[in-house]
Amino acid sequence: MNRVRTRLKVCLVAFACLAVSAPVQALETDQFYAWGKPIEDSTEYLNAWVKWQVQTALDSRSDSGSLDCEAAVYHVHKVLKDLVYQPIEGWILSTSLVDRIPMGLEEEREYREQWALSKTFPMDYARWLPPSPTLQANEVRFGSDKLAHFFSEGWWYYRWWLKRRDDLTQDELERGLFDYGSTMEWMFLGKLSTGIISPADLESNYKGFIFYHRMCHGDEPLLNRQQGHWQFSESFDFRDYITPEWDESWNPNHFDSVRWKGIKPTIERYCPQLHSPWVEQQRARYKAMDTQTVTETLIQEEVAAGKMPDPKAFDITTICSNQADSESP
Amino acid sequence: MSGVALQSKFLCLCLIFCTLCAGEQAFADSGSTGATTPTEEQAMQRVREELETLERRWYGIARFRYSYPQQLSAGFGAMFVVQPKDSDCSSTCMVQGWQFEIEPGRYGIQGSVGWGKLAGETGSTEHLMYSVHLGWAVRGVVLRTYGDFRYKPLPKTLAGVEGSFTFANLNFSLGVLHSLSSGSETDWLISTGIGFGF
Repeated sequence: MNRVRTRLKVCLVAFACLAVSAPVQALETDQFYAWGKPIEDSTEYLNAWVKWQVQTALDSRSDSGSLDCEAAVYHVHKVLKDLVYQPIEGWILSTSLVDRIPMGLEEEREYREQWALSKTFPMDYARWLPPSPTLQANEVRFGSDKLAHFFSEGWWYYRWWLKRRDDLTQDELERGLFDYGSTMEWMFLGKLSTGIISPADLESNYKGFIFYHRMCHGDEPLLNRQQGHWQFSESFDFRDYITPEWDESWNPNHFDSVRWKGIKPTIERYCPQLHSPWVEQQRARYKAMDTQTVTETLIQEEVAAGKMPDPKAFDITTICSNQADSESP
Repeated sequence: MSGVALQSKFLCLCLIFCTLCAGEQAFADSGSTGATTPTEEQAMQRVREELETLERRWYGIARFRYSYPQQLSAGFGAMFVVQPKDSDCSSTCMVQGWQFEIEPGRYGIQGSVGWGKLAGETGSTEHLMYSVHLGWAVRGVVLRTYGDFRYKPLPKTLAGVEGSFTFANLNFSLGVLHSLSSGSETDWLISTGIGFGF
């Protein structure tokens, strides 16, 4: 009987560990790999997917009109959020409508052999899940994992905000949300799970929060009741959320030193492309679009206070500049 | 006639060359494929059409594990799903549905039927979910033991429920079974396993 109990305990612990670790295992991506390769803009398809999912969820409940707005948002989030693979990412990976790199089996195999983390160390658990592809919306390139962050961690942020909105000031709420997201990035979604801290993930988390917040709040909420039924606004547009900060070739990650040994040579391969017309044009466009976001401001404060490593050391311009210096006689 | 054919070929080559040049230009300008971006209405129509045009499919599932009480075993089965007709699972897709699995092992054979959800890929196999990134299933199981189990006598036939969880192809399973045989020493059995697959 003791043997059975011991075995049961071991299995329950293993199950609990997996249940906790698996949903928080972050998917990684590589936008350098897609440099110079054409990708069709998918903003309209992504908008259409969200509008269809949200409205279908609202229409699926005959009593949806009797729900208050927060309850309607709670109902809607169930079709937008899942475990590791968020529904939008699952759709992007298997649809022919959203153009992406890689797309198709052969391209996928090549991507997995060459992406940024492909040469870290054998059995690196950051590679246990396949990397996210790069797509383009609002003229910005980003990994499909950013949309997963948008709907998943954006929802966690929103729940956090809902519980504390009456007790904290606006500044305290913004700082609190950032700290909440940073803790997730350090503990589960990045540093501990894959050794990577991604400011781009934090950006998309926050934009996801803005999306859920706009459902019921603000001057023109995205959800409005018409003739006793909840309707999702036609005004929803990913262009309001997606910014160059989502592109990890523009907004660099911080990598741990063990993985960086393998990642650095892979990223250095892109140095000759840095001054190509395509990349220069993209970076000029990003520069024109880029604004100082709340997340960036808070990251800079953390870096200045020594509480967070500076991701700028991993910026492609810094890497290529260092490479040029080391090669010069 | 041959002159006309030659002229046509020349015109074709010119046309292809011009198209390629125009394509290169478009690529250099915007980084897009040059294909027409759909309007809001066109995009909605195509997305709606894709998400609402569903078909029934099946995918093969398999797992190899070390478990108690079967010890080494190999399971093979299928999962029946409904998904968009245009959905491509060769790289990665998410599916959910009913499934069954037959799993002969060293000290028993297990049959199971249940419901599960997974994100996985078929690669070039079309129907075999050979790689499961994340998946879980709850299955009703019937286990028939055989062989000379060295630890203690086991009930011959058991039935119960099993939870199965796969992350990055690593499978964990935990089950609670009750004896269907009369006169067995123990009524309840906890089955556990670790292996690969789903």
